Amino acid sequence: MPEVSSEWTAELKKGSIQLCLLALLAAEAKYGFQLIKEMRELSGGFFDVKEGTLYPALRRLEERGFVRSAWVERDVGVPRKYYTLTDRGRTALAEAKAVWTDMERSMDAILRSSR
Amino acid sequence: MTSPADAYLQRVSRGMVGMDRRVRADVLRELRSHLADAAAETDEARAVAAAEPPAEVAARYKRMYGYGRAFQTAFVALAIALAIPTLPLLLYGDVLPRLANAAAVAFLVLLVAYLMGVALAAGWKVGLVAGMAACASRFGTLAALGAVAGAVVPDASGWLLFTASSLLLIVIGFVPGAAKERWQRRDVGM
Repeated sequence: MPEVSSEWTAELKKGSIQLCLLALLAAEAKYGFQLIKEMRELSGGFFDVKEGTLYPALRRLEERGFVRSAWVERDVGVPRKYYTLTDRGRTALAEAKAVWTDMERSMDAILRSSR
Repeated sequence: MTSPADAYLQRVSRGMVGMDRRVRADVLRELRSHLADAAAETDEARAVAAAEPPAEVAARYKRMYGYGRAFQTAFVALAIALAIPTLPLLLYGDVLPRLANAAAVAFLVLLVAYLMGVALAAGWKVGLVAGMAACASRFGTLAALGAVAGAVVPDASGWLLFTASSLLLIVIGFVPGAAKERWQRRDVGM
């Protein structure tokens, strides 16, 4: 049985989801299911986000003005809601990436000292 | 026959009762779109089986958005209505004073429980407004009783008790919701 609690891992993931979403939306507008799939594939299955977590997270980002959404009708199938990164979101992404880089460097230095 | 996706969405919808209608409709539309995309990769039954329990999904949105304006208004209106019989109205009918006072106290206890429930369910802002409305309702009822039936608060201690208990309703409307919000674990956001 692992010593590290699953709650701790879940919290780490939870704190990173919004950054992941901003990063994934940086190139183009995407819809929810696409974001879930890309997050899972790019992370090698580490981020296996459920819809009940993803959509509220997207809505929070929208409330903050980091993304905007629009329904797109399709010729076949139900409409999809696409999310697009705003200018504020792009700025937030840049800032969050800088924080992440700092944290990664700091953590790496600390963890290296344990070897 | 109801499809698995429809049954799932109905359960989510039931869990979101009280939320703003437009937000609720948009959430359901997005979940339907998600289930359709997931079903395209497997089938609808599997897509629904893989989805989070509808009650959990609904609860998350409910925490996020709270009650809609219509429900908030109804909560406040009921607080106003419940505050009216917290004054011993029956004293002005053909009822024993002891019974009239007991009825008023019973309604006051009911109002306190109701305000606490509103504050916990709908948050401190709605609780606070409901508490203020209940307080105003008590003063309004007293004024109306004075005008219609010549009712007066007999002495200074009576006024003190009436004012203190009325103002306490505001505190009772505010504190439980604020405490819940303070102690509840919040989602980590950027």
